[in-house]
Amino acid sequence: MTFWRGGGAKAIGPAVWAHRLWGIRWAIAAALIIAILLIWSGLSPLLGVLGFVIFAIALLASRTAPAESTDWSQLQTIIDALPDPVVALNSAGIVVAFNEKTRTIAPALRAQLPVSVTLGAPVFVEAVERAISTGKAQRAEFSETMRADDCYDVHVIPVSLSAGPPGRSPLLLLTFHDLTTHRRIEQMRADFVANASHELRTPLAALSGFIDTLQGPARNDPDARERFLSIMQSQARRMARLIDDLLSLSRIELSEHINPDTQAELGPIIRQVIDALQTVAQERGVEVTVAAPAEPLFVRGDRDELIRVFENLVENALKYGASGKRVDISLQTVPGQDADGGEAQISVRDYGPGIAPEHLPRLTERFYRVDVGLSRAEGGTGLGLALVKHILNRHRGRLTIESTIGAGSTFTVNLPLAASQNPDAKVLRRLRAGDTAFRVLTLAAAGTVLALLGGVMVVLLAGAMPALRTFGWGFLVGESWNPVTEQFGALAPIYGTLVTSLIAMAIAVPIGLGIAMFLSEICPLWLRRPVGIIIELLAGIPSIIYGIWGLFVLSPFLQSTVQPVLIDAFSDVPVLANLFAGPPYGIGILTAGLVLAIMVLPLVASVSRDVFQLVPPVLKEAAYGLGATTWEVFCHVVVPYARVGVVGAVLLALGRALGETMAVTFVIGNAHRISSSLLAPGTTISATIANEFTEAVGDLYTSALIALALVLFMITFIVLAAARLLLLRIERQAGH
Amino acid sequence: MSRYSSRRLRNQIAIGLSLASMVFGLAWVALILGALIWQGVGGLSLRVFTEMTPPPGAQGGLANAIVGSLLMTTLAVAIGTPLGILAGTYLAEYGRYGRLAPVVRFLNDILLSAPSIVIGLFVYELVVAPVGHFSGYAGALALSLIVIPIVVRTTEDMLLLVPKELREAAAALGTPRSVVIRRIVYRAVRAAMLTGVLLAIARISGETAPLLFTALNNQFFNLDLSQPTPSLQMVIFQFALSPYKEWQQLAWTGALIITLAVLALSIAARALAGARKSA
Repeated sequence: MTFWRGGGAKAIGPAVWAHRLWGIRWAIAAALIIAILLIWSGLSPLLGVLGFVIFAIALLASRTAPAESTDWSQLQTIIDALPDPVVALNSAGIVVAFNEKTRTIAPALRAQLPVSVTLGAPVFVEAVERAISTGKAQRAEFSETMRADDCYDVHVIPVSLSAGPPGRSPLLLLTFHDLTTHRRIEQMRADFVANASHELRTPLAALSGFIDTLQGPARNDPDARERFLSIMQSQARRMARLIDDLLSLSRIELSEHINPDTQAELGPIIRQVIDALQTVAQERGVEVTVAAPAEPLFVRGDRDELIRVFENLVENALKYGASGKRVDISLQTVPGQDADGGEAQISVRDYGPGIAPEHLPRLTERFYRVDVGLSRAEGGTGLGLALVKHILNRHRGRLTIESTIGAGSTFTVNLPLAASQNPDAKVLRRLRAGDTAFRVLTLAAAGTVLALLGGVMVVLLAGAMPALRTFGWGFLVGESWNPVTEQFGALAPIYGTLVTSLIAMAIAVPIGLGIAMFLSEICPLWLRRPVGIIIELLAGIPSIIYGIWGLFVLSPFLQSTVQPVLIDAFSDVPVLANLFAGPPYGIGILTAGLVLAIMVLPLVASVSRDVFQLVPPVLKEAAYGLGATTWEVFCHVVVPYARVGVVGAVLLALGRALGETMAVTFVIGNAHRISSSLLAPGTTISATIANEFTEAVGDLYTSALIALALVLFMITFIVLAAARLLLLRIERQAGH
Repeated sequence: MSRYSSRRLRNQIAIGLSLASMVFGLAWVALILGALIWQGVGGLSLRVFTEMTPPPGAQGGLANAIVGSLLMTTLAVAIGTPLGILAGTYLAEYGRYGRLAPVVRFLNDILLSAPSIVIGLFVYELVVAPVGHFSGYAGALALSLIVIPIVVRTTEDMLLLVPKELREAAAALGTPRSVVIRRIVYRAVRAAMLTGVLLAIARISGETAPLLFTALNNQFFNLDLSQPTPSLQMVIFQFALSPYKEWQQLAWTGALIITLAVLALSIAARALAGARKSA
C-alpha cells in the first residue's frame, strides 16, 4: 500500500476531466496557437487540427508519464510522522497513502481503493468531491457510524507537490482531528455549570426569599423569625459545604497526577472517621462495626484526603442505609492487581434499601443523585462520591460499588500498600542499609588514615612533653647528650641528619638526573623499559641491605683506600683540610652520606624519569626540528617544563634520606658529637633512636628520644609536604 | 671553534656524563647485589630454614626468624589491606569530589614516605608502653601502618582508571552503589589491587625500624604473637653488628633471602601489572 503507480483511475467523473484539462491549460493554449498558426499559414486545416491533436497528446503524455513511475514512499514517511490520522488521495479519490493512526477511524482502509468504500459518511464524501472539483480546501465534521460518540474534524486539502515533476495531478490530503475528548469536556462543562448553578441557586433562592419575608410580613413575628433564621442558617451551611466541596474537588483534580509521597496508617484513619460520625450514627440508631487485622496497615497516601474518602463513604452508609440499622466496616489485605505488592481493601457495607443497578455507573458523577429529595434533606452536596473517585485516582486506588435492592450496598476501596509492606521493599531496604554501611565503612577507613597521622603527632608530642618542658628550646640547640647526668641536647643528631642527607643529595641528585635524562632522552626505546624496571626494583630493596653492605663492604674499602687518599690530598687546602681531617675510621658521616646516596639514587632517577615523561613529545620534537641538540632539548625544554616536578622528586628523596634508619645506623658510628671532619663518626636522629631507645632508662631519657623523633617527623613532614604539593602541581599541569 | 662544533661538543659531553651516571648507578647496584650473593650464598643451606638462631659461636639457622617474619607480615597485611582498600575506595568513589578526600589523600601521601622509625615509636607509645612488654602483635600493627598508605594509594589510582561507563551501566540496571563497587569495579581492578598488596608485602618484608621497639627479637621459636617475636630483619640487624663470624654469616644469608623475596614479589607484582596492561 506504500506505493502508488499512478494512472489507475477507474471511475472518473466529468469534474475530474475538467480538472485535468485545467491542469494542462498552458499546453492547450500553446497547441491552439500552433494550430492557428498552421491554419493561417495556408496549410491544410486538417493538418492543423491533426498537429494540434498530436501536440496535445504529446503534452499530456509528458505530464502524466513521469507520474507512472513515481513511488510515494517519501509521502508515506511524512504522513507516518504526523500525530493525527492522515489520508492522501489522488485527484480521482483513490487512497494513495495513509498512516497507522488512521486505523483508529477506519480499520478497513486500503490503498488503491476509493476512499468512499470505507469512509462513506455523506458529509465526508461530499467534502472530498467538492475539494476535487473546486481545488479548494474543505472542512467537514464527521462522526463514524459505528461509534457515534467519536467525532472528527476533517480537513480536505488539495496539495500540488511543487518539488515533484511538473504536470503531476494534485493530491488531496485528508487530516482528521479528534474532537471526541473536546466534545465530551464541553458537554461535561455545560452539565457542570448547569448543575452547579442549580445547586447554588436553590439555597440562594431560599435565603433571599426568607430575607424578603423577614423584612416584610414576618418583621414583627418573633416565632417565625426564629424558624426562618434557622432555615436560613442551614441553607447557608449547605452552600458553604457545597463551595467547600467544589473547591477541594478542583484542588484534588489539580494534583491528581502527582502521587502522594507520605505514608498513612489505615486503622487510625477509620477510627477517627467513626468517632467523628458517632453522633450521626446515634441519631439514626445505627450500629457501626469494624473488623480490622491486628497488624497496622500502611498505605502510601495523604492522611487528610483518605479521611475525606472514608468520611464520605461511612456518612453515606449512615444516611442512606440507616434503615438497615447496621454498618459494617472491614479492613484486609488482598493480593494486588499487579505483580508487585499487595493492596489494602476497605469495604463499607450497609443494609439499607440498596441502589438500582442503572444508577451504579453514574454514582461518582458530580451532582448525580439517586434520590434528589432525600439527598437534599440529608444535607448532601452531590459531590461526595466524585471527591472519593478523584482522591482514589490520585492514590492509584479503586472504588467498586455493589448493591442489591432491598439488601444494601457495599462500597469497596482498594489502595496499594505502602512500600514498607512490600516484599521487594525489604530487599531494597536491606540493599540501602548495605549501601550506607559500606559507605560509612569506607569513610571510617579514610578517617582512620586521617587519624593515624594526627595520632602520630599527638602521641609523639605527648611523649616528648617532659623533655621539651625540661629543656625548652635548648633541646634543639644543646650539644651535649649525656644519659648519666640527664642532659639532652639534640643538636648533634640534627646536625648529623642534615649533613648526611645533604651529602646524599649532592651525590644522588646530579647522578639521578643523569640517569633520568639517559632513560627519557638517550636510551634506545627497547632498552627503556627493562632499565626502568631495574631502577624501580632497586628503589624497592630494603634499606637494611644497604646498611649491611655499607658496614661490611663499603666502610672497610673507604677506610683502607679512599679516606687516606682524601686526607693526604686535602691536607694543605684551607677549608677542605678541616672537612677531611683525622684518622680514617671507615664509618662516619661521609660513609653514611654515601650509603644514603646509593639508596636514594634509584628513587631520584625513577621519580624524575616519570616527571620527564610527562613533557609533551610535541615540545621536544619542535625543538629537535629547529636543530637543537639532545642536550639543548634536555636543558631548555625538558627541564624548564618539568622543573617543579624535579624539585618534588628531589624533596621526596630528601625526605627518605632524612628519615632513613637502617642504612645509616650501621655506618654512622653513633657518636654524639659535632665534628668539623666528615670522616669522623657522628649520629643522626634515627640512628640515635634505633640504638638507644630500648636501652633508655628513665622517663626523661625516653622522652628526649621521643622528642628527637618529633623533630625528625616535623622536618620530614615539611619536606614531604612540599614535595607532594610540587608533584601534585606538575601532575595537574600535565593533566590539563 | 665554530659555534656548531662547540654545540656538538657540549652535547657529546652531556651525553657522556649521562651515560657515565647510568653506569655509575648500575655499578653500585651490581656491587651490592654481587657482594650480597658472594657473601650470602655461602651460608645458604637447608639448616638455615630448619634450625633456630644460635647462641654466639655456635652453628644454627634462621627458622624462627623466618616464621616470625611470615607471621607478622601476614597479620600486618590482613589488618592493612582491608582498611587500605576501603579508604582507597572512599577516595576514588565516594569522596572523589568531596572536601575530605584531598586532605586524606595528602596525608596518606605523607604517611607513605614518613620515617618508619617514627611509626615504630608511635606503636610503642600506643601499645607496647601501656601493655608493658614487646609483642609480635605490636610489630604486626606497626607493619600494617606501613601497608595501609601503600594499599590506599594503589587502590585509588586503580579505581580511577576504571571507565565510568562501567559504573553507569551497572547503575542503570538498578544496582546499588555499594554493589556496583564490590561486584563490578573491584572485579575490574582485582589484579591491580593484588599488585598493590604484593608491593606492600615487598616493602614491609624489609622494614626493620618499625620492629625495633615493637616486636623486638627472640632467640627461640615462637608462634605466640603476644610475646616478643623474632624477624629476619631484626636478626640481621643484631647479628650484623655482632663480633661473631657465624652471626655475621647468618646476617648475610638473611639479607640475601630478604632481597630475593622482595625482588621476587616486586617482579611478580610488575608482571601482574604488565599482564593487565597488555590484556
